[in-house]
Amino acid sequence: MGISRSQITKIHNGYWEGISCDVIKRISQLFHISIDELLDNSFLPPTYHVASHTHSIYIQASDDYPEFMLKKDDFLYIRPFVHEAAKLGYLVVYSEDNQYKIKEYTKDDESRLILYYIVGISRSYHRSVADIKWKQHIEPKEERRGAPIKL
Amino acid sequence: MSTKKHLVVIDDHDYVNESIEIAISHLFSIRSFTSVQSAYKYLVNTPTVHGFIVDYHIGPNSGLEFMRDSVRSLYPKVPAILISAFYDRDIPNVDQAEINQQFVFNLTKPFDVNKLQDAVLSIFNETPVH
Repeated sequence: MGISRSQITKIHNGYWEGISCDVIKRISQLFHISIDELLDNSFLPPTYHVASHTHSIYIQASDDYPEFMLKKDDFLYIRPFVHEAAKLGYLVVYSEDNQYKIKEYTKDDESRLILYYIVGISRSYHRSVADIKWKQHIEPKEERRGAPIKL
Repeated sequence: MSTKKHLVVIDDHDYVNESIEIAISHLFSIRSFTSVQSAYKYLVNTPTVHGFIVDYHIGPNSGLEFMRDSVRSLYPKVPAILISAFYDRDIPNVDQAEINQQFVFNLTKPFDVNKLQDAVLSIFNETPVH
């Protein structure tokens, strides 16, 4: 998609310094987010787009989790959780006081009832890539005249 | 004997079935299937089902056709929820009236677990346990 892996890593880790204007413009186009919104640091890149995860089910964060760079009402796309060592360090969802809560999975959690693990995070509601492709498939293509504008 | 109402969930993705089970198994007794064939085998031998949650695309099959052609002869009036990524688009060759006839509610993927819980409680709790 025109963005290098090291740039994605920087974005994931919250570092905008060293990201070129072209990359920011490309992200703005891809996710339909204004550049102003991108630059005030309130935008969380939707991780599943980058990882191309299939997702169907989400919960919304019940609280702010600054340690995980999550804000209340962020969209957390989830899968059922099975205890296994490979999931150490994943963000997981468990239920407490009738609320879904989030924590990082550690070895001490083996006895805890963990419901889901998080496969994708976004700050606004996003449809799956498959759905977007389907929409493009069923919508009639507009005839365009002249040379395409290079972005 | 359990007094929970019995729901059948059919989605070709295992993880969707499991996610739904996790979300509502404290409210309902759930049996899930990843194919219409295995679901149908179960349904012909099961006397009581109180509701269905059915994906629109179940592998090569359509959840709408399965409900209309197979399930309705066994359970003509049991309420069903449709889940699909594409339902709110104009799906070519699909009769909207027929969808409305077969399903009382639809959830568009990705859907919120809390919305699922609210929907199943309001829809399936209206029918009494036999």
